[in-house]
Amino acid sequence: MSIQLEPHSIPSKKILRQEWLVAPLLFFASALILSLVYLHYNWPGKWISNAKPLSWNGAALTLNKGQGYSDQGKLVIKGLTDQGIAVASLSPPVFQAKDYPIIIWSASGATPSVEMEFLWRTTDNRVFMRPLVWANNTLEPLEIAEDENWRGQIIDLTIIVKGTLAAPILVNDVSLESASLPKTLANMVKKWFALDPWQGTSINFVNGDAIDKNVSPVLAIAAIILLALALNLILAITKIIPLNIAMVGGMVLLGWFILDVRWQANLFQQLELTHQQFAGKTWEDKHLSAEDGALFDFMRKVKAKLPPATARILYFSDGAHSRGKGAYYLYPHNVLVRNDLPPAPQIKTGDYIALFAKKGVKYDRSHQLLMWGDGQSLKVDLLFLSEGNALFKVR
Amino acid sequence: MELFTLVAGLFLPWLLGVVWLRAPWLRATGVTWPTLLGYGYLGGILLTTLVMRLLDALGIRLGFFSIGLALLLLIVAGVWFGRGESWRIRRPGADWHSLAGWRKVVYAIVLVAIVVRLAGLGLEIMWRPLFPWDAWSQWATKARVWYELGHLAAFVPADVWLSGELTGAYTDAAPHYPPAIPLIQVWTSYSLGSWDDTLMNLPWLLCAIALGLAFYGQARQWQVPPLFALMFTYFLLSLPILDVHVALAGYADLFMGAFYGLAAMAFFHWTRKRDFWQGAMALLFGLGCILIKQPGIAWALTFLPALLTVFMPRAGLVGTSVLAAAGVATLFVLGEKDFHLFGYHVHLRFAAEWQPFWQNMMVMDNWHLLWYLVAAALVLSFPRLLAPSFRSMTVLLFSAISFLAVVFFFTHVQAWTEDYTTINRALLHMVPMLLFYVMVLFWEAASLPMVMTTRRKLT
Repeated sequence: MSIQLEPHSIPSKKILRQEWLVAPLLFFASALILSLVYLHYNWPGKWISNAKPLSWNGAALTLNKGQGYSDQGKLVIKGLTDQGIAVASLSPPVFQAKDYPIIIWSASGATPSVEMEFLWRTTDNRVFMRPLVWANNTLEPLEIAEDENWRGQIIDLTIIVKGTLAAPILVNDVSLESASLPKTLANMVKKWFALDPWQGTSINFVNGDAIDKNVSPVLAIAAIILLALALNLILAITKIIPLNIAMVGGMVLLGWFILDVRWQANLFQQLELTHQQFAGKTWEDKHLSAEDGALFDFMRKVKAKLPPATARILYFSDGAHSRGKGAYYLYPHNVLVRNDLPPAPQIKTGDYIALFAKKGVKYDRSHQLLMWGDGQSLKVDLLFLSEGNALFKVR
Repeated sequence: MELFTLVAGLFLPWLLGVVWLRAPWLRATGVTWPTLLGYGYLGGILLTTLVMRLLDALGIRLGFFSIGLALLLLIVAGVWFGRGESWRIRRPGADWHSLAGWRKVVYAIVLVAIVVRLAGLGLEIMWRPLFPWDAWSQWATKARVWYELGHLAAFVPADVWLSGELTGAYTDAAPHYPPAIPLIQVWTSYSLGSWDDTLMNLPWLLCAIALGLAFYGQARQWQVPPLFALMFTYFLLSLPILDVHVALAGYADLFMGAFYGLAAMAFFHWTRKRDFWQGAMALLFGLGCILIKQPGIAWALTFLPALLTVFMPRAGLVGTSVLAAAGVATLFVLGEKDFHLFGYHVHLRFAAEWQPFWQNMMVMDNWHLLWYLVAAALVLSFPRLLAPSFRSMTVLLFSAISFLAVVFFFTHVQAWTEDYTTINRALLHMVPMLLFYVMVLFWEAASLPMVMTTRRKLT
């Protein structure tokens, strides 16, 4: 075994030309080995599947409960039962669950008031259920292979709609994706680069919601580097290649770089969203375009009613976010923000009271009285009222 | 005009820092440009906030012209004081030209990756309105009021505000916090000519750039080769949590980490060669920590044990260890207690919950591979951690870790680790210092005479 450190001597330059390739080769060999090991223990079906994808259009479903009809190959669910459900089922030719790790229900027309579930029946007459998730006005593909009950032979597929229908739901088709290595690998790559957008918690930790929780990228890359280093050591002991510090550094840099490519891709996707939402707008228009634009708009109208001189404003809201952010929008006015109104004697004549999404406070218009808590009340003038949110001036 | 004043607002503090850090009495003879630029910006922006506080204390209304004029006069004075100092500028790209073969390519790729990252983060700052929680609940609140009023109105606790004892006083979620961060936003707003809670956060981008420059410059001054130095600079600037604090600007933690990191890097250099400029920077930036955020007081105090071991190597080490053991024993004896410290209400309570640390440091992609690198560096260099050349650096590291350990395991803050709200932000304060330390360990390990001897024998 030989150890080489930078800088290299001139005779070793020839070896170096090959060595700079060794680091990435070892890294990718290690990645391949660990991927195969992972797939061996986690792969739900055959590596190369002979099963062909299965698909049925919506009209093939039978509506067992609820009101609806078939039209142009689709199932239209236009009404629910008195219990608030609709059930549509399909009895396909018997198939092996393990051949089909992904099921895709293509449907449209759902609103937040609607929940949907997928049920399946096996040949031993057992029924299992998984909820379906709506995203971007469509149902997300269901990775059913990860459900331990998705096994054996399947004889029935059923969809259940619950809640309140604002509009008919159209079930276009249902398809079962066959298990195959290329598709799974493509899915893994897609997940790797899935957008993890900014959230309120992003300042504290990188959420990683979009990432496959079974395989942490950081742990995976760390394991790959460790194995690559072990391979490097074995090759050095067997005198196939020398042990080179630069190669070790190269492998670490490569691992870091791969993690960072994923992070950079996420930042690019986020930047595109940010650009679409805010670019080219004034700072006020940006706030109006933000998720809490309604709060900003309310506070803007409140500020228009306030005198330019610094008056005391007491602002109350039940939500932590609307409380803190609403107060921020009220500055540079002299604002105090609280969840609950203080005892009436602590509020002075001339103070302003702003309420946003605040329960437990009543305004008696005829007596111009603001009432809250345990018999607390104040004489006030109503200056602004909008959708239950208001601004008052204390008399 | 707005663009001109904005550029002036961003770069006047930078120029101020650069000219004053070259003052003859600081003996900045061996300082390289990246180091000077990095320390210059952060020193300059902090000095700008002090100038604003001075103007306010003198009753002068804050505004672009009053502050700008004061900065300009200080810059002229700095140039005049430093007129005898030579400006030795190395050829741009000298480090890149010095590299051979594939190293040139890797250097260029890493540099491009850094530039792309910073550019993207800059655009995110420019487009997104103020977003993260503390930014609008305790920092920009003060900035907005002071910007509009033109003076530093007092911020008081809510009960004081409600009682009406202090007329003209304001309140927010953290009235006791130091004014430096909001004043940075105020100065940028004056440069813009109007309130804009998006563009006022551009100094966060400059803070990241300055941190990167200082890190690279100090690494090169340690005689770390250009590619190795740039690789670790890239490691630092690509850390997801650090990037988030640039993109979602408005928190103090990035500045806190930068000031502590710059102070620590200068301290490491000073312990090595007793360079006066580095010693001065360690002192100035160490004290600067106190002005950024309340925990900065504790971060500044972490230098004391390290300083003790510089002057009294063995006695300092033994004394520090005994004090640390006594401190831990006292914490156990005290059990559950309540008290106030630096404006915080502290509830002492021992509880060791490791899972959040494992998740946030090793599993989630908050830090890429940083903590694996740290573990590897400490294991590989374990026998030498307390060797004379590393002793005070290691003591500083363990002082910093001890501070966080006490906070996380012996106080109510433990609850904030379970919901992940504090772990990464607190770690961010010490990460620039830690990464520099790790880089030095790796580099020194690769340059060990023992290994060199082995190489001679084996090759």
